[in-house]
Amino acid sequence: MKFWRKLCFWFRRRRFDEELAEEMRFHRQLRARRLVSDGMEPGLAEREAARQFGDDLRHREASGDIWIARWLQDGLQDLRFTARTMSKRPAFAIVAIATLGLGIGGTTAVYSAVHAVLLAPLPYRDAGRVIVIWDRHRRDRESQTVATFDDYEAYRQNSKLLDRVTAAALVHPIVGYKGVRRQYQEGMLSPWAFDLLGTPPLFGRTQFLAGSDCSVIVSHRFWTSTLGADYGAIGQTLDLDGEVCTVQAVMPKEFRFYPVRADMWRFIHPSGGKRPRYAAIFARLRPGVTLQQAKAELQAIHAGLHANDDHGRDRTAEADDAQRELTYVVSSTLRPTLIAMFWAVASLLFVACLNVAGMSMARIVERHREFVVRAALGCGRGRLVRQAFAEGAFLCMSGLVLGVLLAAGAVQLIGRKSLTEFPDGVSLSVNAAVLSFAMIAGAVAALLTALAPALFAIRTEICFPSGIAGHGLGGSTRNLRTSQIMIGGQIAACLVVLAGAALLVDSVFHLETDALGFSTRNVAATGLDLSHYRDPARRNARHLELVEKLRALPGVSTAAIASSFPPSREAGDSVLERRGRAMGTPAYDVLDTTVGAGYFELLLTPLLKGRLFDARDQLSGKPVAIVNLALAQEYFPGEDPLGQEVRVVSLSGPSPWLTIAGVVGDWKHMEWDARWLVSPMVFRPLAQDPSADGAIAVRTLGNPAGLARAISAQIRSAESSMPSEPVETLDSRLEKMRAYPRFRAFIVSFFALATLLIAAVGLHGTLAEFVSRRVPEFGLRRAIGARTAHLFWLVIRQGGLPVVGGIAAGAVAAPALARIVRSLLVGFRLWNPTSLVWPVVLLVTVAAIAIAFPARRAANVDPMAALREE
Amino acid sequence: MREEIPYGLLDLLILRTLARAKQMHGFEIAEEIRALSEDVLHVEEGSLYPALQRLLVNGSVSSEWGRTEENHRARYYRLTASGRRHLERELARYKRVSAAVGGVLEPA
Repeated sequence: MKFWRKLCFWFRRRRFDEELAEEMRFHRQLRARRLVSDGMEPGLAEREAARQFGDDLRHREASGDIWIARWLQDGLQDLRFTARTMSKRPAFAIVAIATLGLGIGGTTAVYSAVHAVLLAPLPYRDAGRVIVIWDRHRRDRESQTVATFDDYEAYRQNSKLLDRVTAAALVHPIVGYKGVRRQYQEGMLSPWAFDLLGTPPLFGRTQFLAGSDCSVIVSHRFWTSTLGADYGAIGQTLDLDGEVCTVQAVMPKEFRFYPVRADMWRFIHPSGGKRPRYAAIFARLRPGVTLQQAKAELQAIHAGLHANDDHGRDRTAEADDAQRELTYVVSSTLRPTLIAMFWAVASLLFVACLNVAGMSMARIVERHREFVVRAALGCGRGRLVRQAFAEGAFLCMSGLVLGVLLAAGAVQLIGRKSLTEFPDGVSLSVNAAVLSFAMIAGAVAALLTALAPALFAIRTEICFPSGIAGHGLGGSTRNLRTSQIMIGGQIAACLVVLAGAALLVDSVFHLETDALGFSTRNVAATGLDLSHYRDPARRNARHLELVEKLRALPGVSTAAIASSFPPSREAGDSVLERRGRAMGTPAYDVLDTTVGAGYFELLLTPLLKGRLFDARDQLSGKPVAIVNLALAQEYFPGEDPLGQEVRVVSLSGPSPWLTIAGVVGDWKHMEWDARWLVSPMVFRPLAQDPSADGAIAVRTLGNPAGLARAISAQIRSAESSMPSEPVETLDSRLEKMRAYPRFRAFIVSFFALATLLIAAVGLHGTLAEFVSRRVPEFGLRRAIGARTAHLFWLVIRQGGLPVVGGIAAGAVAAPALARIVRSLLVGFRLWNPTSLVWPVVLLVTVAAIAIAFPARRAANVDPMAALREE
Repeated sequence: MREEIPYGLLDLLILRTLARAKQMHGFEIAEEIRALSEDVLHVEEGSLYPALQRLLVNGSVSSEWGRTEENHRARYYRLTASGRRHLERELARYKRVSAAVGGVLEPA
């Protein structure tokens, strides 16, 4: 109501002022009349009434201020004035708004992804109080692993500071539904898991139902893809590894929990039943308890439990915020992508602001005369500064509107084309948080844009400005200096972004061209499950039959079974022990793979020394291993690895002692920061451990994609109980692994080039302004004998100086920034001295072009024309 | 003897004055307050008009252009229903406070 009255006032304010004036005039008249009736002379009475009444204008303003605060009225007036002056020079306004819009839009779009993936709280009740508990090596903070189930029981029974301690273990059941069998990811949870999280299901019940034998809670993805988004899904039955389970609930789309890509969850029955050996542990901090206190308590429980064993000596408990941990797990590749992108767009916005500030400066210098006249007429400094800020605010508000529209468009595009794989349940939107971010970005942009012009306005002197007499003869060196500093800042920011982009492009180049040590061409692989063969000898026989059947397929040249096929996304996490050698600090980096006959031939990996696995390596034979060159060099420097005995210690325990029979060439795996890295590897014969089979692959003569159906059918005809895993070519796996780095290199390069373009346009604009203001001076110089080259170099110097300075500043800032980023994100490399070479070359070339045009114009000034202009 | 009107009381005086009449213009309000206070309280124009705007903004009074007895155009103010409630509240509060102040200054 009040607001409404004020709004009405705003639209009627001119009439309001007139009416108030009339009202006060009448008041004065009546007062004068009373003075007359009191016996005063009429003329005198009128003057006395006016004197008593006081300043009419001030009273009116004071009355107006009641309706709308003065600063708001002035601000709105400033904005109106700005809009009017802008509409006179639409080209400037359009370029400035487009530049800012691009900057704000890019930053907002990337922030919307950063927010959705990394910052938005997980959909739990009071998510900040949910913690995750790991087991880690005492000395190595990064070596977090899941804890044993016994540890979980100890924490659950003994912790006083934690509530609802919950285990979550990852299992891979084969799920049969309507005759289709496939392997899925399932989380096994403590019965109170959903009480801990407090996330209500989409429908169904998430409580543990004591009566039922097996019931599962399915993810939204599983519900939509496998169950056909059927609202009658509750009560339907699935076959989980031969056990009949009922669907109990469907979780909402945004629900995320451990395991990150889980398709369904099942409760660990409190009394008996299957228990996992290892589990990630979650819990809720009791009210008033801090994470540090909880960690101390957990470590004490851990120490008490393992007081007398090796585990207790080496390892301890670790607890962390579930939000940080789960988003980290979700986005080990997405996270650096987002951060790199955000960093690039923030620089773009910075450059855009400086650029618009430069343009505004040039305009304000042009309007120097107007400023001086306004100051002379009594306009306060504060008001002039406010005018500068009003212009900045006008441009940034328009830029903000444009930017938000651009961001909304970009978000739509990213969502539709799914250029990147976002984790389940994460959807991008321009929501309230993103909008507030955009507004903050806009406000910062307004400040940055208006700062230099405002400083200029403060220095407005009430004097006879040189501008009134004509064009200043180099009178504004201070302004030139300001412009140069701003150009230097743009060039520096530009170099930093270009350096980052160059590094990413370089890494993509390596990803595409590096030799990996194995050949993925014409190889297709699929999952294998023969777990129902309990007898190792029978399983071995089955392996041989399967490989024979596939080899018999037309177009197939060879086939092999192994625990896995490359390319691998992860480094190994096992430890290698040499017989008879004490272990130093264990390095969890050995990749342990079990391979069947024909494996190395299939992948075209060369044997360097010794022999490959053959008929000697049977179940009853001596356990053997093949290692790769990297492992041989790391663990047997200067020794012959052949015949040495080693064993592999993984989470599930040590392997038997293995005699090294051969050395093969190195392989690379992809590190999580998108680099190929050589992994130390141990290969074991499948014949000695047939239960390790996990995948089967074939090498075909032509494109394997066309054979996928035949391969699938052949496997199923041999083994009807086999789940229908998709047949994938190794090339397509490689392609998927390269997609992310390529995407982020593309985006960052795009922003870097946009930044370069904006900076170049700014440089050119400032110099062109500089030259056109000094055309008379140049004409004069030429008239008295200055040479063309001299004028040309004068402009080159003015433009080149900030470019050189900016490059120097950028070269100093880039490694410093990279160091900060690396301290925040372990192992995230953004810096490499050689990555500066190309950016500097590119920057110098573009800057040279931007400078050359105004320099040419200065050099070609016609003295007569210039003097006539004067 | 002329006295400044204590801060915050002017709104109350204006409301009370308007409550007694059907409608009044600015000069009449000032005169009425001066007359009733036996020439002690003078309402300055510099505070009268802002005070009237304040009352208009919060809806305690409404204004309308009318004609005086001499047929001169003048803006007349009148109390609204919510202004009347506001006045009662303020009056009660004022009485409570002034009784309390009196009690402190001259204990019985």
